[in-house]
Amino acid sequence: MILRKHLKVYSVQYLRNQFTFISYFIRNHSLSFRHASHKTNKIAGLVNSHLLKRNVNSAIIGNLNSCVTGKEGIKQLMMRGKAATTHQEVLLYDFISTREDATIEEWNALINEILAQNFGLINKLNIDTKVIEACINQKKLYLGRNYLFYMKQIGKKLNAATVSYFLKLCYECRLSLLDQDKTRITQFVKHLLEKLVIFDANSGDGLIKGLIILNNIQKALEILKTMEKSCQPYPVTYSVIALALLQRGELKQALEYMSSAIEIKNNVPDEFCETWISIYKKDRQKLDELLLFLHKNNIKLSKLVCEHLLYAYSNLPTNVKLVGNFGVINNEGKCDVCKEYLNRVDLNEIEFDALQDTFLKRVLVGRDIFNNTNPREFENFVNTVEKHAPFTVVIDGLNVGYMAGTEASKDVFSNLVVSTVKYFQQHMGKPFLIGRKHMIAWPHLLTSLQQMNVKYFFIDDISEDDPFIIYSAMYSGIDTFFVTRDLFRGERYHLQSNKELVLFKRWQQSHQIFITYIAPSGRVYTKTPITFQMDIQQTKNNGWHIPYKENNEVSKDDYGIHRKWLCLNKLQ
Amino acid sequence: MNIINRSLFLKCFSIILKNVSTHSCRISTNFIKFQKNHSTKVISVVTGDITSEIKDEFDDIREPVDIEAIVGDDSEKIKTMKYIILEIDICKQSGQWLVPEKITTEQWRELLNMENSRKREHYLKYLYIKEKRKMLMKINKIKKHEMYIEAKEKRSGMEKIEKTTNSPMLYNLSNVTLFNRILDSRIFLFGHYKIALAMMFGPHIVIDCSYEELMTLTELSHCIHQISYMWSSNRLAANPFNMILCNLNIQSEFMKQLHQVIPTIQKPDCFLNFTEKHYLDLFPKEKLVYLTPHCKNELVKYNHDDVYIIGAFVDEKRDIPASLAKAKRDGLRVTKFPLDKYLYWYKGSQHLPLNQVLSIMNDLKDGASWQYALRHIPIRKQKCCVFDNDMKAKKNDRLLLTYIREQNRQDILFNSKTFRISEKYDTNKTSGEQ
Repeated sequence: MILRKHLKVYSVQYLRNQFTFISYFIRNHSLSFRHASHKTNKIAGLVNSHLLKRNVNSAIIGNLNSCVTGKEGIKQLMMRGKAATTHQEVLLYDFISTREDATIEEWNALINEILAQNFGLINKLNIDTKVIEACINQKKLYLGRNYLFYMKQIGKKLNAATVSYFLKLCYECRLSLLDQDKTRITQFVKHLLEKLVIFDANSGDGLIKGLIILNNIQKALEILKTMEKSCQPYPVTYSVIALALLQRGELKQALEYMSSAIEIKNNVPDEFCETWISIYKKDRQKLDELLLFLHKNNIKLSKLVCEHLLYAYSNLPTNVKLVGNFGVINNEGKCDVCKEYLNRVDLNEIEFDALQDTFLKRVLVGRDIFNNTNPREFENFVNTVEKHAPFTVVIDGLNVGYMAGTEASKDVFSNLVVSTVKYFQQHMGKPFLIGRKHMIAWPHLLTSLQQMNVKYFFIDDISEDDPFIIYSAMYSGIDTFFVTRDLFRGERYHLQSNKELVLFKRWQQSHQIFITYIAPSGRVYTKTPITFQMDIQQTKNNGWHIPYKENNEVSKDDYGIHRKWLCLNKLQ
Repeated sequence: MNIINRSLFLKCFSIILKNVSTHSCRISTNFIKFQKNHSTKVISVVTGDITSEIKDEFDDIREPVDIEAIVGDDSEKIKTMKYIILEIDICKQSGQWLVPEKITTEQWRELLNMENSRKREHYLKYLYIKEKRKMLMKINKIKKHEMYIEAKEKRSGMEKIEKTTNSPMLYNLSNVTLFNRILDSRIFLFGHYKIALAMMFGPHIVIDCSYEELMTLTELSHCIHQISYMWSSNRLAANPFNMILCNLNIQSEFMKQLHQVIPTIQKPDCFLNFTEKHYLDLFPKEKLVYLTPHCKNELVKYNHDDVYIIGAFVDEKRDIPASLAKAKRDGLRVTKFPLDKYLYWYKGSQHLPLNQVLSIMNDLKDGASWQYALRHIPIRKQKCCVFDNDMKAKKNDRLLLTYIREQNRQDILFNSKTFRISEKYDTNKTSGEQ
């Protein structure tokens, strides 16, 4: 009895292994529909010979071989997932971008082709709004109207989403609207207000844009208030309202709504700045107001807006005129055009203390102390820092020690650390070393540190050292520097709001020292931090230095000096 | 065709179309042929009554929702409920998010507890993917069945004998066999006996279930399915472990979902043990060892006197060393598997799923080498030894790669060959011996 059970068990498991391999093989093959048939035949042959050696039932292979090698099988395989959606989108965008006018046949053909893909994102329910969304991206009002006419002829009715997207279309092309469109828009808006009592971020966006076309801003503001209770509206809605208020002349409200848009996304649309400049061409104070507002929120402009600014400032009366040009900035902060230095970094003490507290609570301690440290270790660390503070430099022992690689000998590690500590003690004063407990085994480290009378703290091997460095540097004042080659990208993730991120980046760039090379004699070559501020700033002559981005430039992590600036500093 | 005739024609056709369903926008080919010569061009914008163009209600999108059954009488919750319904309807109409068609009452309750719209978006996407997967499985099943029938008819040479004749001379898979019919439950009895021995004398393994608050709902369900795979692979092993689930609250959601997957767990016959106690109450502190991927100590040899702990924590996107934190708090030893020594890691995280960990421990306990034990880790995470680092495996070559890797793997299993790599391609540097 026992023998039979064993045989059954092992035979079943044996077959299961083979079958899993075959099914895995087929599953991977069926997704790749672009395979040529001759390669599949090769592989199927290999599989067959491999399996027949093990005496598996040939019926299984025969069935599955037909799946693998048959050309009909490959054609019947459907596109699924991303392939289907991209295929649908390509069809749509090719259609809309290439033509200005379309007939009913062409719409029919398009829609039949798109809906033939059963496993794509676009459905019967979706397709109306997707067509209009494509029209918004290409800015074609005529095609949008044409599509609604087509729908009426077929007898199809509009959704609430299509109505809101059509209103968005009309807003995008608001300069080329006709009177007939406006009557339609009024009826759409009425219908939406009656049927939908609550508003979503998406539908509310369309409604507000429709109301702005009809110059009914008060109602738009009311609807925004109701929306804010239940959801977070898009930053686009805020900027649209700000633009409308600007055109009426109410500046304070416009700037309020714009600032609430900046909290969500750190960007100001070009239209806002351009309308401001075009309205207040001859008013020097108002132009300065714009730039002050952008200075507070740490925004970089695009090149188009900068060209408009240049033109506007140069056409002012001679008392108030400013002349300048696009230029490049030095490593030390000197401008090519006006030959003056940019302003120094100014960190508010209040904001700095707030940053320090958030770092302690969220990063070092977090939800659970044990994620990063122990409570015993934490107490010891805090006690040593409070005793021996303030420091001038904080050194990351691990980063400095492993500059030559992790496979060097331990003498090398200790020499590197000792030479840096000596250098900074000679030139700067009171350094502070942070390392790990396995560094005690490095030869001559502890003895040399005690001879130089340098304070140090060693962490457990398990816990991370980055938050310790940052906290000790912040605790001992605004003037302390720190030495690593690490960019602290992971620590930024814990800071959530925009202002904290900007502060942290500013502090990091102005207080971090990079080590480029350490000679075997002990000489250390460093890279000084950036001492000037890289924002829109005002000079002594009440001029402006403005950093700008090229058009269609992708915003990456901006490390280092921003080279492209607009200089408006000269009076003639 | 004149304008008058065209308008008459359109009126007649519109009457026909009103009887046809409005959702379908496919028109017969005859109409297209007829209208080829007379294509319409838009000259003016439509005016007039437009309210007839717009739909009145949303009800044809989804099934009706019982708000009272889900929420009750809370006025605030009813508001959020209506807002969520609106969001979902507009997403279906605009294609903004991926949204499923059917949502059950439990899923509605989970949606209500979420704070942001982003969390709702991720959860709805997960439900959408689940639905589509089930649809595809049904379609593939039907296709496979059809292919099987076609191949069956092609096979010639076998005379078709009816089942009613009861001839004992047919030895096929679907007919009479040599062996008696052995059910799965009989095989499992054989394994449960060994687990009963393990409960009294033998090797124990602890699974720590206290990470429920740190996991999202999808991760919880993944964790529970991994526990069911552990249970099934354990009881068919040669010398199974005694699995103990510690820190398991009976009234929590962990238990509810476990009960759905393994419904016999709360019966006295079941050999999967669970307790509300802490593992420090069951075993002394010196014996316990916690397995984490976040430490630096590597497990050199399996110790039969130690009791190993596996944390039932699935983290797919975050980097919090929660299991390490727990071990530090309790003052336990900590180890990890030496993956970098014996495998060439290509892609993916080294946080292994629970069923792979347990099967590796089972093999180590029986005295296997590390190369044999680490065969449970899938091939997609490992590098093939033949190709260089720089060469990216294209789609056409990936099948050959998988075949070669599987061949190597089976050589280890059945021929007990050692897995050796030539020095030319040994570009991966092992970790330092610290």
